[in-house]
Amino acid sequence: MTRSPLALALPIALLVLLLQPAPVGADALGDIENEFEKAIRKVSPSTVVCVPAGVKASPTKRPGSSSGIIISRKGYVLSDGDVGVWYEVTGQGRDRKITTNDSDKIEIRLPDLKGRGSRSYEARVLVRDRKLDTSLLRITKPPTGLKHLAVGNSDKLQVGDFAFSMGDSFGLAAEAPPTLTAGLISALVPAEDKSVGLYDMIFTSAAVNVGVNGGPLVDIEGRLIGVVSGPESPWDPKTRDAKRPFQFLGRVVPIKRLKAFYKNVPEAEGLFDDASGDRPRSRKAAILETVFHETGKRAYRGLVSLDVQRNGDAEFREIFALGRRGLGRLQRYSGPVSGILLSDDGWILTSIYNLGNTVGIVNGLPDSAPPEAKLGVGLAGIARIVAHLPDGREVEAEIVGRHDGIGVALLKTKKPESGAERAYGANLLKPVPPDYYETGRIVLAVANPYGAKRQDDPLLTFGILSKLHPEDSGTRWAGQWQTDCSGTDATAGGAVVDLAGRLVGMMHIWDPGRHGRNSGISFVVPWGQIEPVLDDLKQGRVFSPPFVGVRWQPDASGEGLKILSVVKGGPAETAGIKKDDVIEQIDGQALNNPGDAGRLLKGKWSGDVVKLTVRRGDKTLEIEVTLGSRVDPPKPS
Amino acid sequence: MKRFALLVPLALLSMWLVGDRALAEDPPAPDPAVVEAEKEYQEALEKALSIEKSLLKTVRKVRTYSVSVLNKQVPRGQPEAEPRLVGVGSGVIVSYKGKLWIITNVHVIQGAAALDVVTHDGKTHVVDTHDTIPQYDIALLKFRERVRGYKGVTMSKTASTSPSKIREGTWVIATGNPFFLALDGRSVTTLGVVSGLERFLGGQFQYVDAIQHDTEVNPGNSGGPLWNLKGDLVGINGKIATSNSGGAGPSNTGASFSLPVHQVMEYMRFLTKAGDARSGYLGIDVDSHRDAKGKPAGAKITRVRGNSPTGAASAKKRPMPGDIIWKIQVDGSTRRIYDATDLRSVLSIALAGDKFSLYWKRGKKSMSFKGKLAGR
Repeated sequence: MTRSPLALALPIALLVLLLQPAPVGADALGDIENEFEKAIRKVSPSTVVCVPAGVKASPTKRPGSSSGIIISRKGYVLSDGDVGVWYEVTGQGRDRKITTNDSDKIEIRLPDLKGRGSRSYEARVLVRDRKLDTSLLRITKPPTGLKHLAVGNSDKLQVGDFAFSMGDSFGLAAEAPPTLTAGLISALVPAEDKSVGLYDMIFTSAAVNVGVNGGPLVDIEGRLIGVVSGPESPWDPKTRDAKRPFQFLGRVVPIKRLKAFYKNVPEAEGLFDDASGDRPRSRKAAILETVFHETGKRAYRGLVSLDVQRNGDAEFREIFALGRRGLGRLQRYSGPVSGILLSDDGWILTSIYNLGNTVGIVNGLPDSAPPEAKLGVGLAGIARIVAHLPDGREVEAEIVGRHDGIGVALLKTKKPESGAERAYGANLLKPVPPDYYETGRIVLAVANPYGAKRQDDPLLTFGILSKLHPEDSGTRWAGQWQTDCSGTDATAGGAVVDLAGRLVGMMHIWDPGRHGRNSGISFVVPWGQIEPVLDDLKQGRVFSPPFVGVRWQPDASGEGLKILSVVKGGPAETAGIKKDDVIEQIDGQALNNPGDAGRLLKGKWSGDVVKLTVRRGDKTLEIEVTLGSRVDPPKPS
Repeated sequence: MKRFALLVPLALLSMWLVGDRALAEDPPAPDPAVVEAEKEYQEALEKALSIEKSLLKTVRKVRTYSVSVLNKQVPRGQPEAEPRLVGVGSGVIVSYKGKLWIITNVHVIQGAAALDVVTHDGKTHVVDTHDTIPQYDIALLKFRERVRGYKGVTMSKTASTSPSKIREGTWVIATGNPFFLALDGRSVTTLGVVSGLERFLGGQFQYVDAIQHDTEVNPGNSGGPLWNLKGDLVGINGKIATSNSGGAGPSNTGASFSLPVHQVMEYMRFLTKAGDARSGYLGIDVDSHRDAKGKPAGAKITRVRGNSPTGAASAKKRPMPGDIIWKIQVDGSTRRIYDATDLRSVLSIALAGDKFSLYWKRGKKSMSFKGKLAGR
C-alpha cells in the first residue's frame, strides 16, 4: 500500500492552517481583557455595602447607602464621609440629608460572591472627615478569612490610565456582588489649584452612580488608588456655580490624600504601610495606557480654551422639551470650553453648542418654546470671548463664521502677535485620511475646559466610533459620526482624535435634553464636513436654516402656494414678493404644498439665492430671493 | 622618532574635525530619555493599532446580525388609518435549526399593529410575531417574505456562550437603535465591560440571572444584542437603571442589563414550538422558603397533585408537602432554586417530555427524584 503524495499533503496543510498564529492584535486584546478580569477578581471580595445599623426606616426617614473597602484582615474598612447618614423623606424630589445625628453604628454587608445574599457584620465609625469625604470603620468582630484590598499609589497615575470603580450602584448589591465599571483616569487635578471646581482630585470616566460613594477606584493591577466620592454634579448645590468642568464624571479622593490624612490618626497606624511605590507597567493594558496618555497630551497642544463671557443679564440656559409637560430650563455649564487651533494665524474651530442655547439650534424647537431658547439669543448674549493659547497667553477672539447645519463656529484671534508660531504652530492637529472612518475605531475625546488654569493634561475620555449617520437621514446629525466617548458640556468643541493623534473631528452635542450627558451619545463633526466650508466661514459666511419670510397655503387652483402675508423686512418682501402672489416653482421645481417647500429648501442655507416662479394676476414673474436666517435675532429697528 | 612626528599633526587634525562637526550640530543631541520615551510610544502605538484592527474585525461581523425593529400602531380614534411608527427597538437575527428568526424584547413590540425590521444593508422587511414569553420579555419574530443573503447567529447548545465565559471585567459590545438613531439599520455600536452577573430585576418583565454591564445602552437599544470580543452573542439588552440628574430624560448611566444567551437559548426551544401542548407539567405547588436568617433558601412544596409526573410516582420516592426544593435539572440544564419564582421560571419554559431531576431537602436529608414532564 502506498500513500499518494496528496493524501500526505492534506493533513500537513490542515496542520499549517491550525498552527498559523492568530493576529497579534487579537492576542493582545484578549490579554488586556484577561488583565481586566484579573484586576476585578482582586476588588470584588473586598468591596462591601455600608448602611446605618439599628434604626428602622419610616415613611419620613430612609437610610443612606455607601460602599466600603476592606483594607485590613483585622476588619478595617474605608468608606466615604457620609457613611451611616439618614435622609428625611421630603416627598418633593430631593430628600434632605440629616447630618446632626450621624449613626456611627454601621451594618456592613459583605456580598457572597458565589450565590445570592450577603453576610452582615456590625462595625463602628472610628474616624470621619466630611471635608475630605472619608471615614474609617472597624468591624467589631471581624470574621476570619477577610480579603483586603492592597493599597496602591496615586502619585504615578497618568491621565489615560485605566481605572475601575466598584460599589453598590443603585442599591443593586443588596443580593449580589457590587457593580463594576471601567473607564479612564480622565483628569488629575493638582493640589495647589484651589480655584473654582478644581481641587486635588481624580476624575474618572468609569460610570459612578448613587451608592458607589465610598467604594474603591483601582488600577489595572487591582490596587486601591482612590475612594469614590460620588458623581460630580453639574453645579454647586450651595452657590449654584455652574463652572464645573468635570460634571457627570466620577469624583474620586486620591489615595495619597488619604494616606496623608490618616498618617496623623492613631487608629489608622500601619494600615497604609504596605503601599508599594512602583507601578509595574509590564501588562498589555499598558500599551493602550501609554498611547492614550501620550496621544492625549500631544493632541491637547493643538487645543485652546475659550472663556465665553456673557452680558450680566444674559441667561445661558438650556431649554428642553418635557413632552406634554411643556418645557424645562436648566442652568448651563458656564466655564471655559474647548476650541481646535486650525492655523498659525489664529483660526479656531469650536461647537455652536458652546455659544448658543441648546434647543432651537436648527429648527429643533417646538413652537411653544420661548424666544430665549433660540440660538441667536445665546449668541447675542456674548460680550467677549477670550482664547487661552497653549503657551499660556490669552488673546481676545471673535466669531467670524458659523454653520448651524453641521454645528461649528469659526473664530479668529483679534490681534496676531509676534511669536505666533510659538503660540499656535507646530502642534496643529493633522486630519485623518478620508478612508480612516469606520465603526469600531478607537478614538479619544480631548478637551481643554481649563481656561487660564491650564493643566498638564487634557480632560480625556475614550470610546469607539459608534456609527455614521447617512447624509440623507434627514436629521440634524446627517453625515456625522456618533461616538460613545463620555460627552458633557465641557467636552463640546474638543477634538476627537485617533490612536495616533490625528484629527477625526470635533466633539459636539446636539440634544442633551433628549440624549443625556455622559450617556455615551455624542457626535463627531467629521473633518470631511468642516473642510469644504472653511473658506466660506473665513469670509464671514453664516450657514443658517433658510428663512423666506412668508405665510402661505396651497392655492385653490391646486397648483402653487398662495401668499397670505409677508414678514416686514424679511427676504421675500425685500425681493418684491407680495400678498396674494402664487409661488409655482422654486428653482424650476413645482411646489403644491408647504411640505414641498421644506423639501426643496433642504440643503439651502441663509445667504443662498433661490429663483421663484411667481404668478401674479395673469402674469408670471421670475423673482430671485436671497434667503435669510431663522436663527439670528431680529435686527434692532 | 620620525614616525612619532608624523602622528601628532594627524591627531590634531582629527580633533579639529571632530570639534568642527560638534559646532555644526544644531539642534543639540536629543536627550536619550526623550528618545527612549518616543521609541516606547511608537512601539505602543503600533501594537495599539493592531488591537484596534482586531476590534474592527469583530465589529464588522456583529453589525451584520443586528436589526432595528419598528413598532407601528394605528393612531387612536382613527381605526381606518395606516399604522404609523410610534416606537423603536432593536433585534438580532439568529439561526435555529436551519431557520432564520429575529429575537427582540416583548416591550419593544407591545401594541404593534405592524412590525418592520431594518437590516444592516438599510432594507426594510415586514416581520410577524411568532411567539412571546411576556414574563421574561423575550419575543421571537419571523420574516414574512423569504429573505436571501442574511446570516443569523447560530443558536445551539454548543455554539451559545456558556455563562462561565462571562466574568466581571469581560469586554462587551452592544449594537442597536437607541433614540431612533439607527433607523437606517446601521446599528449604533458601543463598548463596555461586564459589571456584574446573576442580577435579578423584578417587575412586569422579570430578568432572572441578568448580565449587568456599563456599555452605553439607551431607550431603543432594547431587544438588541450584546457581544463579546470574539463576536459571540452573549445577551439581549433590555433594561437600564437611570437617575434623573441634570434634567435629562432616562438616558444611560452605565448600568445596563441583558438576558444571558444561555437563557435565551432555553427560550428558543420553547418559542419555536407552537401551541399549548408544549408546556411541561411537574404537578407540584410551591411557596418561597426562607432560612432561619431570613435568606431565600428554596421553594417549599405546598401540594403534590395527583395525575402528574410527581403524583404518579411511588410514595416512597416522591417529594411531599413541606419538602424544600433547592435544585432542578430540566433538559440537561441545571438551575439552583432560591425561591418559588426560580422554580416557576424554569418550568414555564420547559416542554412536555423533557427529562427532569428534582433535588429537595426533607429536614436534613437530601433527596432527589427523576422523571419526564407531562403535557397539561
